[in-house]
Amino acid sequence: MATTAPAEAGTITAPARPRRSVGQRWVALWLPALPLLVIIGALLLAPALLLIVQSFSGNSGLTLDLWARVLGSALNREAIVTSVVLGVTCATIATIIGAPMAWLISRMFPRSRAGWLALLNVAANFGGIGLAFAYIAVLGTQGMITLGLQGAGLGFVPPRPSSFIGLTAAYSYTNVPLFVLLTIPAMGILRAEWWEAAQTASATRWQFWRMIGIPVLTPFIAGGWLLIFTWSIGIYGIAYGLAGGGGAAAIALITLQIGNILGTDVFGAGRAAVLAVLLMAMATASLVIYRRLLRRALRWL
Amino acid sequence: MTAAAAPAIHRPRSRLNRRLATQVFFLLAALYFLLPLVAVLIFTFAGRWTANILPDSYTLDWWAQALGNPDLVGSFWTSIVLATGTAILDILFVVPAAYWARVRNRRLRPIIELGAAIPFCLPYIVIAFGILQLSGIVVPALQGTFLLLMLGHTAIAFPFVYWAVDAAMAAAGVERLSEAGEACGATPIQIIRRVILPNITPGLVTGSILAFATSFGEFAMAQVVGRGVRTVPIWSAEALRSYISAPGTFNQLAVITFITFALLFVLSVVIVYLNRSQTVRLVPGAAEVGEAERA
Amino acid sequence: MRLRLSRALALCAAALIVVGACTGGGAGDWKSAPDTGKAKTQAQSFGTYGIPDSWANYGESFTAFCQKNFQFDCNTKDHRQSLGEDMSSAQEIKAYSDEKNNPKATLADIGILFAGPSEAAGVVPDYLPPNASKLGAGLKGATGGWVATFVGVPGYVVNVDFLKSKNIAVPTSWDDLAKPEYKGLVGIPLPGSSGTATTAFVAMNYAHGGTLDNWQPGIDFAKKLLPNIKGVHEGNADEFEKGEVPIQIKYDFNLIALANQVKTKNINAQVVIPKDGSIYAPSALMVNKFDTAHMDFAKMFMDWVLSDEGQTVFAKFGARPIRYVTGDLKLSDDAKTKWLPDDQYANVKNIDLSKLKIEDVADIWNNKVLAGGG
Repeated sequence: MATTAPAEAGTITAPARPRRSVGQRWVALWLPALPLLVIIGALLLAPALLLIVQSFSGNSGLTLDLWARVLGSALNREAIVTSVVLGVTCATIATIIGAPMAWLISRMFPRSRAGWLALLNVAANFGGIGLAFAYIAVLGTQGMITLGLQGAGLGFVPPRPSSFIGLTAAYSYTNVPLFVLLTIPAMGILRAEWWEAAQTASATRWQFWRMIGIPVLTPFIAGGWLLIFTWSIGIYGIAYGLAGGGGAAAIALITLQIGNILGTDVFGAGRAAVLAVLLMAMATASLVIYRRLLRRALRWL
Repeated sequence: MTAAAAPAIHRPRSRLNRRLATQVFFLLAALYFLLPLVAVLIFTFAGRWTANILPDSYTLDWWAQALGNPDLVGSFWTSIVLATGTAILDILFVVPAAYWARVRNRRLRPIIELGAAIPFCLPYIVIAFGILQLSGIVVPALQGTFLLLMLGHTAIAFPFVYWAVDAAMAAAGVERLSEAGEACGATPIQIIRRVILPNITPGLVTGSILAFATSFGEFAMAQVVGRGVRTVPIWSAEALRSYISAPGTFNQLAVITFITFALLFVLSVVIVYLNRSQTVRLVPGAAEVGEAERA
Repeated sequence: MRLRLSRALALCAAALIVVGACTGGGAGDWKSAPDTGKAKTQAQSFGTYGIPDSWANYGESFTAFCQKNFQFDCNTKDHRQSLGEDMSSAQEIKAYSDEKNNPKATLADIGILFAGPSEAAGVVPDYLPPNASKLGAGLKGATGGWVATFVGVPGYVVNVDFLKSKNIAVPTSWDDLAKPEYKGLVGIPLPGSSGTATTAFVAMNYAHGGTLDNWQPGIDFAKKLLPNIKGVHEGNADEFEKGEVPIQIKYDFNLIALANQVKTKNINAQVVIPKDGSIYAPSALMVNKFDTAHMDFAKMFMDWVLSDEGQTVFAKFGARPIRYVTGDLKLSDDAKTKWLPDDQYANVKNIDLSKLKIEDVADIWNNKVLAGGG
């Protein structure tokens, strides 16, 4: 940082400049945004960069030791695979249920549409520990639905909260609404006139969807899929509530592994950094693809 | 009800079936979304509950216990203060930046957009871990403090505020408002206070509610960065996971979960009302879609 | 303007350094004897990790200690912040280490297997109280910082009513637990992180002929047990009562307490010390080196838990005091009323756990039991 006032420097290099110095111009351009930029830099950017550096550092400078150690552990490999499979499963479920739902809601009358949006908003924001508990209240061994079905004489055995199916069910509770909220704006792209035109050309509903609707919407739906995938592999609260916190044979996930190392291992920060960078890489990649998709899709409109 | 439901006169039967199918679909969906809420609510009143869909008996004890539990009530107020503080900080940081990006310095925009993508790109647990490591090097004294946690929440919640505020500024046409203000000789601060803020109120409210909700329910950062700050999710996680908790803890957990749910619902209704049943922009890129829709 | 900004930043940095120095620094002397007057002030407000009232009677222990030395009960919410009641030993060490600048807890209860790691992590002070001389090597820190307090025997508690309603027999050994009828019913914490679970895993290994140098029998057994514990919470009182986790692996004194707790609700619970064998696993009191603000209190309390009175408080709860196990302390029958009959302990072995490296157990569990083709 300069200790001499930049204002002076400005006058030296450009003695005949008008009233406003470089420093003042800089201030005028950036100062009001500075607090936010500091927050972004210090609490989002710098921490992420630090983790990347730490994941490659060892006693003797730059090294891949930590990566080798992390990827050499069978449990970590299992966690990575499980996280990815879980992300894919959740994203697919959210798409299959969410896409038709988004379409139908986007075509509703304003009032019922508002009601649904409020409900979806709550569900999309109701994640974390609260949802984990709600899952147990509904589908735990002594949950309401479990007891109800068993009371009705059905031999219903609910999926274990920390099983793959259990986590998928719980994740979907927030993922499906999130997907709907994400894709509703895109649904407006299908113009009413197109359907009318298709009808004039005596196309069936199925033909309309196959030839026009689905191709036009695909990039947006794929984008939604990617976002839900990214979101799902990074979920920690729900997973911790359902499967974390030290069960001896809980499901292995990248986020849970990070949480576990952070909670228990004094010498584990480097390994946790590797896992964190791995998550970062996956998430960044899918976000980049998402933006590409979106840009290309928008070009056609 | 424009395109899809446009009358298909020659096929009334299938239209009726489709209607019915749609209604059943939504009925099931509504049940699915409300089920946890109902189950949790019943849990708060359940006495003995053995082998039926409803409890064998009901009681108000759990509500009394929960509301009389200083730990639980304390964590509730901690979360309220934390979430409110986060929302206020976000507004203070975001409004001037978003305004400046629109009226003075276009180069700010891509930088802020990039920053706003980070909390979506990186899971909260990763950001939290990064902040933990960085603060350990730079400001160890801040570790485990309420302040650091609040700043962390401010960082991860700012995109919601930015998008809401930015959209409101676009809708209000702040560039023109600002020019008009300058023409009348007002200072930037006067313009923001007298002209801009009154015109973007829905965006401000929406943004702060989203920031509030993000902070209120956030768990990863509270656990990793805010060691010792006992928020509702932290209390809940302990109650959920604890292997020594007294019987009845789950019922108290049901009470606080239901309260959280209800709080979210009220806030969500406000948002939807303010935005006239348009969706709020939740992710990067969604605005472009929205703009394309309007185009 | 920029000048002013950089000056402001420098000021901020200076202020933070000062704050850091005030909280982190001011280190007192761990080696000197405690000052009772200071300790009394420190007892007004202190924190603990992993020590709920119901953990081996620590609640009563704090009360008795403070009543005796300071004439007030420090085990109330105003004085003792009982934090992280469900923390595992590894979490406690990590917390001491992470919070070195803002210590939140003065004392923690850890499994003795984690005493070594606590020294390696550098979180325990160089101090041993006078009463520590009554313990042999391996039961206290080489340079101080922790002392063994009582022993636990890993076993399990069974919700008899729940099993009966499902027509499943009550298990009596580790081998029984691996039978298919207990699928999804057995809760155990994570070996390598939790002291209880780690020693339970050691016990299972010994019960099947293994030793600390030969883990294969334990690994083979744990793989058979895996379907029964997979995805099950380690379990708490609620989950036990409701049948969510009707079989829970814990230390004997916790099992006894849990069984008595649900008995008041007319639920039949049975505590099982597996008949194919278990081990004596000492717990220890770990002092936080960084919490210099409560130094005198910590030193005095460390001494108290090893005194005859302090040890008896544990015994009254059902936990066998360490000095009783080493033969240094006689207990009246009165103090043993909650204990399980001695014949259940016939197959409980006394092994030297000090050689065991916790990282190895974590590695074996994670990579040979869980991931090794499980």
